[in-house]
Amino acid sequence: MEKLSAKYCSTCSKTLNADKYHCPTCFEEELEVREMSGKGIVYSYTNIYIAPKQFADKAPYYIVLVDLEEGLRVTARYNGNEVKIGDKVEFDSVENRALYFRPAVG
Amino acid sequence: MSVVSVTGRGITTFGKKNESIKSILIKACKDALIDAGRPKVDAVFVGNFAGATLANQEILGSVLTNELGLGSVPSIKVEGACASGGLAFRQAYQLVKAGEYETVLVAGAEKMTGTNTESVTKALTLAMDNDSNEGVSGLTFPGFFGVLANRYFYEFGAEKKHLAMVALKNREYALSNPIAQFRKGTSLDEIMNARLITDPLGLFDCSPISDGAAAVVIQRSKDGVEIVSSGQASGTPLMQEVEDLMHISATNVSANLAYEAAGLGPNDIDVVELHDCFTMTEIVAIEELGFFEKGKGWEAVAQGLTKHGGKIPVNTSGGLLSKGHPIGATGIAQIIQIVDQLNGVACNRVDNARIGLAQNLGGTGAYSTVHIFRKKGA
Repeated sequence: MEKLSAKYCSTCSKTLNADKYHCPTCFEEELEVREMSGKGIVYSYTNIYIAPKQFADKAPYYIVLVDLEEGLRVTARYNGNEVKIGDKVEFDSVENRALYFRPAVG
Repeated sequence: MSVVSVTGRGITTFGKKNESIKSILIKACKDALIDAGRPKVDAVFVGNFAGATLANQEILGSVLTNELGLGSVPSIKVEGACASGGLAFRQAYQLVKAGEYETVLVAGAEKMTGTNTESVTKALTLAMDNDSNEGVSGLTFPGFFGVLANRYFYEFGAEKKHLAMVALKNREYALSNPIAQFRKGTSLDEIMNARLITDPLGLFDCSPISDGAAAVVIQRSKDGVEIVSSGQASGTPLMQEVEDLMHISATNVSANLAYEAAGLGPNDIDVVELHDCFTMTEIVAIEELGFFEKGKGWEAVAQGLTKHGGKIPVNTSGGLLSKGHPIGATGIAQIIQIVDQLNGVACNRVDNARIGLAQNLGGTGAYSTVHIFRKKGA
């Protein structure tokens, strides 16, 4: 199964979003790629009704801001019928760089 | 230290217009130059966000110098999303203050109605960092403020009706603004029940798609509304990297820089135009500008403290929400409302206003400028 990954700067002991080109603190480019548990809590969300052309046929769809167990916060699409702040969610997949989350099982 | 003042202003009506971006820019600039007494112009700054994508036109600086017969004077377009106008104004102000120029024309314009809503929404996503996982996930520009609003409600107890109160206040101010896009009354009921754009934000919580242009003349002179100070700050363009989503730090930092440079604080401000791209943004801005405590802005709105008779009248022009939001023109239009207030000729006049403040936000907190103004001779 696909895993959620992030980057890690060992000089600064900092977890960074997967698409960072370098560590903005020490400018290190050799960042370690780490696997995340994929589990997190919804910090906030919105349900988007008016979307740009390439997403218009998907609207309305949920965007969630998830606080991962490892401390990183990520923006993602949510595959679920309903969501609220504090909900437990887990990583589902990554498609064309976009992250998808779903309700946590159990 | 030399005094720099706004000595002329010109503005078109805001809304859906048939004219081209060039034509509305010429109109606003001509009015500003005539208002200032046709001074010799040393440079031209133009704020504009999406001339290429939405209006098929770049090089607005040169287009203007040519059309206004200004010869070879330097000109430039400044881009900073919705803060393009405020940023253009700040560059011009700093150069006049530094002694590089005597007189500068600063304009701002946007032509947005020539295309459809989906294309405008797409153009607006250019105001976020798209080399990331965010834009491709379907996060929109209004979506950011929807996420912020839901968390703000959760943390501080505000509700959708408090957003509606902001929309209603600004609409009521717009009723007497001759250039405003929306001059038709509404009700809390209509606002609350309007179609959703991005939960919890509905149609009335979002600034509209507008055409419009605005221009001011600034000069090293005491003969006008004095520009007391200028502050500017940057913030992260990625939602997932905002340190505390309950703060728009660029707004706060730019305000503190301007307050410090002016030797003034929030209690000295008599009237303010701030960046209400969404109703939620106005509530956060009145907190970041120091008028109300963090988390208390919604209560201030509910108590009527942000209008005439309250603590400070906010967005007496009708704001972006009801006056309209032709992106590049917005920062200049805000300044014009403050200048008009301090000259005692504005719509929704604030009696005895001496000090005014204009705050212009770009992106989802990527840029902010704050300018503080003083009434002539005050």
